[in-house]
Amino acid sequence: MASTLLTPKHVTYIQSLDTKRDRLDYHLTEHLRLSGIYWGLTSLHLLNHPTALPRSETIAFVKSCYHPSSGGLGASPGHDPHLLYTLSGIQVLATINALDEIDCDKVVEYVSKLQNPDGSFSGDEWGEVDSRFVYCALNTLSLLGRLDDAPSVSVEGAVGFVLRCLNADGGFGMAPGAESHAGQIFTCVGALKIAGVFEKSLSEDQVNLLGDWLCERQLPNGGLNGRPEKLEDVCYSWWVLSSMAMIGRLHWIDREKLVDFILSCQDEENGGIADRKGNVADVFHTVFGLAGLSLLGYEGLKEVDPVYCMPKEVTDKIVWNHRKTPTSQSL
Amino acid sequence: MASHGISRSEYAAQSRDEHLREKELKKIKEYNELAGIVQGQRLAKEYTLDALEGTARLLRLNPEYYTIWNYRREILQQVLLVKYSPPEIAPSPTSTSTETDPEVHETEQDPEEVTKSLHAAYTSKATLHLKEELAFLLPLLSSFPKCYWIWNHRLWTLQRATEILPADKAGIFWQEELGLVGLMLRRDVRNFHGWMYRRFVISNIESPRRKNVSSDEVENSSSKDTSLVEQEFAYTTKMVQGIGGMSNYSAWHNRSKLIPRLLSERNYGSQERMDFLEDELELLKRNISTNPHDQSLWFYHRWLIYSNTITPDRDTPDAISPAMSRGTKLLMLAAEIGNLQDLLEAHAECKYILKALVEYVGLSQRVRKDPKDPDGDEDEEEWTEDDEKKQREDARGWLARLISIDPMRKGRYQEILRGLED
Repeated sequence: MASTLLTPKHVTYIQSLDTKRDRLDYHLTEHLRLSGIYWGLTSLHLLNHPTALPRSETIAFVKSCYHPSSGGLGASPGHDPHLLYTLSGIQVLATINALDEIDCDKVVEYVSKLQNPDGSFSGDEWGEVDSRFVYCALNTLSLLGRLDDAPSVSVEGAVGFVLRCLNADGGFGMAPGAESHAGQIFTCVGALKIAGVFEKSLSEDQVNLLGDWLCERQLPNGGLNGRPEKLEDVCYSWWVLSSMAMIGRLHWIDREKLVDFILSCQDEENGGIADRKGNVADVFHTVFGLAGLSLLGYEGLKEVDPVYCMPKEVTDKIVWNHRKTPTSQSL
Repeated sequence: MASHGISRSEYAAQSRDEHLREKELKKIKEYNELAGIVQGQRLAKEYTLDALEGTARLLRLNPEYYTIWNYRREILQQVLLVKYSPPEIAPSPTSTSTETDPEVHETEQDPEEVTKSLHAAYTSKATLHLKEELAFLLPLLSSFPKCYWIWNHRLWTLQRATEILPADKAGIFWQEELGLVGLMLRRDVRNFHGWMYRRFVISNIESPRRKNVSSDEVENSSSKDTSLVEQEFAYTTKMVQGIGGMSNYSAWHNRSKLIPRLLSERNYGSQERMDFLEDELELLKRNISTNPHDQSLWFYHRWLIYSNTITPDRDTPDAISPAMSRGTKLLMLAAEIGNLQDLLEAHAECKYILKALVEYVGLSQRVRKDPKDPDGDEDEEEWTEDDEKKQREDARGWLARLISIDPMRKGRYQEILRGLED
C-alpha cells in the first residue's frame, strides 16, 4: 500500500486518459467529457504540473462544446448544453486564463435564463431543479465576474432557496424537504460562500450542528461517507472535507487517518485514485482525492480553494481579491 | 470516468483476456454506430417512431446519455404525447348556436358528441402511450436506481400525463406511481432519489391541478382535503419499525419533516402536543436502548430535544411543543439526562450516549439562563451552585472519556472542554 503520493504516476495517468479509446468506458462516458477535462486539469495544477495538458487543445475542446445559440456548454461536441458542463467549461478556461476565448456575455445570458421564480435554478431547459444547480450558476457567474450584474439574476432569491434546503440536522438537501447529503452540503455551503452571506445566514448553533454531522462522517478506517450508515468513498472525502474547511471545522476530524485512507486508494501501478482501496481508479476520484490531500496540507501539493475546487491562486486572482470583504479570509 | 466499486483486479483480468478484449472492441463499434445514427437523426430533426426506437436502444446501453433523453422527449412531444386539440368541425348554420333546440337535429350527429368521442379516443391512446413509456423506464430504473436522468424522465412523463389527460385519468397515473416508489424503497430503503421522488409524487396527488409544482411548495403544501400527511407519517412509522428500520436515517428525516404539518392538521392543542412529544421520546428511548450505537436514532433524538428547547436564531417552525415553559423544558432535559445516565451504566463505552449527555447538559445550562416564566407556578427545580459545579465536573469527565474512546474527533471535544473552562 502506497504511503506517499505517487505524483509522476498520476500525471502520466491523466495525460493518458484521452488515449483509452479502445475501452468501452471511454465511449460510455462521453456525456461527462468536459467535466473530465476540468477534473484532470485541476489535478495537474494541484500536482504542480499545470502545463501537462496542451493548452491550445484544451481551449479548442471547450470551444467545441459551446452552443452559440444558447450560450451554454454541453459535455462534448453534439451534447446538449447544461449548467453542469457550462460550469466545468468556465472553470477550465478560468484555470488556464483563457476566459476571453468565449462569449462570456452569452454564457451569463444562458445561466440567467435558468433561474426560476422561487430562486432555484434548473439544470437545463427541461427543468430539473436541484440545489447543486444554484451552486453551478453562482460559481459560473462569479468566475466571469458577473455575480452582481447578471441581468435578471436574483442572488438573494438563490440564497433564499438554498436556505430552504437547510435541515434541522445542520445539513442541506437537494431541495426543500430532502435529506441532508454531503454532496449537497458542499454545493449549498459553497453557494452561500460565493454569495458572501454564509456568516449571516447560519447561527452558531446551526454551524456547530453542521460541523458535528460532517465530522461523524469519518469512519474507523479514516475515510468519510456521504450520509449516516453508509460506506466511505474518496469523493465524499472531498464533499465533507471542503465543507468542514468552509465552516472552519477541519480540526474536528483525524487528518492523518484521512490522508492514509486517500493514499491507500491510489493505483500504484497505473496512477490515479479510486473510490476505495483496490478498485479501479478514475479521474473524478483522482481530483477529489488530490484536492482533499491539499486541504489537509499534504506536502508538495498546490493549495486548493474549498469553495471552488480550483487552485487557490486562480480563485484569489479572479474572485476573492475583488471582494470588498474577502470572504475567503474566514476559511 | 467516474467508476464506483469496480475491483481493480477484475478489471485487469478482463483487459488481459484476448477473447473479452475482442468482445469489447465489437461492443464499442456497435455502440458508436448506434450513437452516430441517433445523433444524425436528431440533427435531421427526425421525429418518428423509428427514431424513438433508436433512442430506446441507445439509452438501454447508456442511460447517462442525457442528450438522448432530451431527444426522446422532443419526439414524444411531437408524435405520441401531443397535446389534444379539438378538431375543427365544419360549422353548420344551425349547430353554432347553443340555444337551438337539440331535438330538431335528431337525425344529425350531435357535434358535441363527436367532440366528446374524439377526445375519449385521444385520451385512451395517450394513456396507452404514457403507460408504454413508464414500462420502458421500469427495468432501467431497477438496473440503474441512482441515475438522475431516468428519474427525471419518469417525472417528466407523469407531468406530461397531468398536462394532456383529464384530471381523473392523470390522477390514476400518480396513484399507481406511489406503488412503484414503495417498491423501489423496499429494495433500497435509503435511496435518496426514491425518497425525493416519493415526496414529489405525494405533492402531485395532494394538489393534482397545480402543474410544475415547485419543490418549495412540495414541502409547504397543506390542502387539508387531499392531505396525505397522515398516510405518509404512518409510512415512516412502518419504515422505522421494519427489519433494520431504526437505522433508516431517511425515514427518520422524513418523519421530522412531516410532524409539524401533521400536528397542525390534527389541530393539536398544547397538551396534545406535549403528549405527542413524550410518545416520540418514548419510541426513541426504546430504540436507543436496543441499539445505542446507531447514529440515525441519535440525530433524530437530538432534533426532538433541540427543536423543543432552544429558540433558534432563525424562525423554524419545527417545535412539536412550542409553548413549553422554561420549567417544563428543564424537567424534560433532566429526565432525558437521567435516562442517558442509566443507559451509560450498561454501555460505558458508547460515545453517542456521552455526546448526548454533554450536549443536553449544555442545553439545560442555556435554558436555565432564560427568564423565569411570569406565572411563577412552574415546578421550579432546586438548583444550587453545587449542582452547577457537579454538572460541569460530570461534563468534563464525559468529554475526557470521549477523547479517549473517539480520538478521531478529539478536536471537537477539546473545543467543548475549553468552552467549559470559560
